Amino acid sequence: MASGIAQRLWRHADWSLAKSCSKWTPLGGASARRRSGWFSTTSEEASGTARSVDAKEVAKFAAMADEWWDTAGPYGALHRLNYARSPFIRMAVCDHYGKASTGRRPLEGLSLVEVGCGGGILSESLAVMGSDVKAIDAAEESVQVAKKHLKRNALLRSRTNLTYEATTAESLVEKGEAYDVVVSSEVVEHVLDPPGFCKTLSNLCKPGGLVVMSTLNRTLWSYSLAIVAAERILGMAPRGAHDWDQFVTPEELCIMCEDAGLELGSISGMRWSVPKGQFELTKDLSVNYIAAFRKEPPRQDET
Amino acid sequence: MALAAVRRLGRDLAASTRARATGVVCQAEVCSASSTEGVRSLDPATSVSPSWTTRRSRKLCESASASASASASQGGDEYDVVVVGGGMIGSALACGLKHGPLTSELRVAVVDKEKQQGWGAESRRGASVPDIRVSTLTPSTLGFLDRVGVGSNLLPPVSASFDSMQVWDAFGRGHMQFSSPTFLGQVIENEVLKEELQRRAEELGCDFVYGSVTDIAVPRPKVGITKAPEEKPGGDGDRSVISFASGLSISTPLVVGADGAQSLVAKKAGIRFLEYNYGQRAVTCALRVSEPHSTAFQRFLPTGPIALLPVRGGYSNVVWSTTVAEAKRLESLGSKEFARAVDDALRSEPASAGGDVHFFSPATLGSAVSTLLGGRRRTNDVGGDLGQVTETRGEFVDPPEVLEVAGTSQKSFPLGSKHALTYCQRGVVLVGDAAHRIHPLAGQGVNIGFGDVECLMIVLQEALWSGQDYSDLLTLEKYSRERRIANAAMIRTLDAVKSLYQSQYTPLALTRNLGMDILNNSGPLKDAIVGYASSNATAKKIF
Repeated sequence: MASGIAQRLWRHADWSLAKSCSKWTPLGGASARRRSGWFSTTSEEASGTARSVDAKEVAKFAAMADEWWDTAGPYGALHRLNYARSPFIRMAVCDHYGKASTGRRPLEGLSLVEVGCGGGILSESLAVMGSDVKAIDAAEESVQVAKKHLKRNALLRSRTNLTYEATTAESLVEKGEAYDVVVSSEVVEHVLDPPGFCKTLSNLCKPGGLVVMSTLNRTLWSYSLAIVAAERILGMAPRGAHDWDQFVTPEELCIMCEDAGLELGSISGMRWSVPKGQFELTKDLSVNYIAAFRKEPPRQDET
Repeated sequence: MALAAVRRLGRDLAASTRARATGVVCQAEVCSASSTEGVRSLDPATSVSPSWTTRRSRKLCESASASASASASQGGDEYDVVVVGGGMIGSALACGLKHGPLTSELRVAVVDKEKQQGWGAESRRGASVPDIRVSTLTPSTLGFLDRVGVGSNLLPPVSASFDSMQVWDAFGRGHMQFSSPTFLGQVIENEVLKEELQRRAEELGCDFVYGSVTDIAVPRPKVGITKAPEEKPGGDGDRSVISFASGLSISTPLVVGADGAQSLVAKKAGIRFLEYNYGQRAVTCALRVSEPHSTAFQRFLPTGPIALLPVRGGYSNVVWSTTVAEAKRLESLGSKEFARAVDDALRSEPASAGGDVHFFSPATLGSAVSTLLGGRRRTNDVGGDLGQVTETRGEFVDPPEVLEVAGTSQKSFPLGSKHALTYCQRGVVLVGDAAHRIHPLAGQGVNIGFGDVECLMIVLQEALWSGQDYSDLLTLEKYSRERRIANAAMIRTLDAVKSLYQSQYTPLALTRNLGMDILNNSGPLKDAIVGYASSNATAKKIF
């Protein structure tokens, strides 16, 4: 196993380890494409229905559905991640749409879809901020938990517009739905075909809208913190929740999104703060990071 | 506005009663008053002034209750935050929440036993003798009160402020003086502050619910979504339900326990405490003194500290901590005798330095110290022998002569410290005395309570900023962690000070005398202590 890791590290050493830790610069598309197996599939192949959903991953989360809202349980880290990702989304979306981010419901009037909502940890936060949220997940069990949790909270229900559905992003695209903001947090590392997934997210987004994605970087740091420390030693995340091979570097994400017609707007790292006991935003992209991509407005010459 | 509140309150009943209501003017009043019908049959006392209705709607209810008829609401009203205990801390939290840019949206209810009146700043201005229950507010607490908009109502003559503090003990004249160009603290009657805060909370749109609480059902400690049993009709789920003697109930995701040292909320939530009984009682009352003073005096007697604080109207307030037997004796004394006892305790000459219990004379110790300190310190007043040390800087101020007890006679209360092992549980959080009780010697009890309030406000604000569930353990634990550390430090410090000063072991007594003088003459160290004593914010920085 160790040799496997070493090989992989070697494979990625030249461009993911060194650069993403300190200063991030987008790489030329060509060299990255050569290196990653994902890019071997052409866009035509990836456009099939629900290509992004990995049945194995869905089953993994369905089995643990009961734990979603236990903040001391295996998803505790995701709850604590909200303290970093929600403010990022609040600020990125407000910045993009020219709204004041200080209000109680800054995202009021925006339609938002969350792809891969799980138990609805982030969906509820997004709904509290005022947006009309549609949250979807491929795992039926998780969506049931999310619905149950929402059903219990009468105040949240009466004040927010939040609907859950067990479906895939692809089928929403097929229905022709489009949203002002598309959020997919901690999902892209669990899908089979990340470039196809990015394309789907882009299709779900209205032209001129915003796509926000967060994931884990594929670095030595992320291996030691997210897998060794969090999963195996501290038990902050369920064992086997993550596969380090599937982690996505910011460069790869950026290239995939560029191919999908999305342009990087802002990016920020998220790191665990020991004194606060929660995640906070940071400049360091080496472990967790979150990025907002702008979808280009419709071009005049094409219309 | 009032109409809207009443309508909200009687929401469940509105449909049924509105049809029956015949009054043209007060349709909504009837809705709310009608629900007291059920109460009337249970308890004649509450039927006159329905205990569970909001304060705002009460007057209306009283006029309309006679004609009302409907069954009591069982589902109860829902609030975002329910503060149990409308005292100083509870009302301050309600005000604070309504002031925060994000928390102001929350529907806040304050639950209290009964409405108290006649203690407002306005009405107290005329009263001659201040109440015996007073609090010392530090500048940081006053800053907070200013921010919530009550600070200006608390200025003298409603309260009294002191700009210096003198601490000394029974054995020597070694003393410590603190002063501040503006003020060190402001002494105010508890009831005045409470009423001002309640008035302000009401102004800001908090609902006051009066009645005696019979039960508080808190949410289950752990969440299991799919494995959880079906919800009971009463709705334990994720919400707490507070039931009143009148049979009515209100529900909320977050219960704040601000109900004092005998907290029902803490008991119902099963929160455990570390308790320590000092085996002492404190005697307190208002006194008439020979001249008004702007210095707070505190003298450490072998039996415990005695403090004399200036209060409103030129009066003083004494808090005398002593043994239980002595406290009982003092309590039974007449007005003049008690005044004489206080006067003796504050103004008697220090115990003779050459007494039979002393191993070293002050001069011997003084010269030893000056040898140790050497020439370096000679310039810094702390040279020579002990006899001269007190004369050097910060002249000893004699406390005024105590003439007689003013107003009600002296009362005593037991002393102890108590600290909750945790300040929160799912959907439940404790603030102020419900979470901690400390020795009154530094006058910090209420101030660390206000510190709790400020911290909780920030934590709730942060949760709302990131769209988090503010009643979640994840949010509340941040508050619990931060305040428990700060308050534990305060409790430990006061425990240590108390035991140090109670010691009659001569070397220790002399050392502390000397130590006090060294402290008194060293600027930076003293500034740090003053800073700590007069601010809660600095407590955080230390850790």
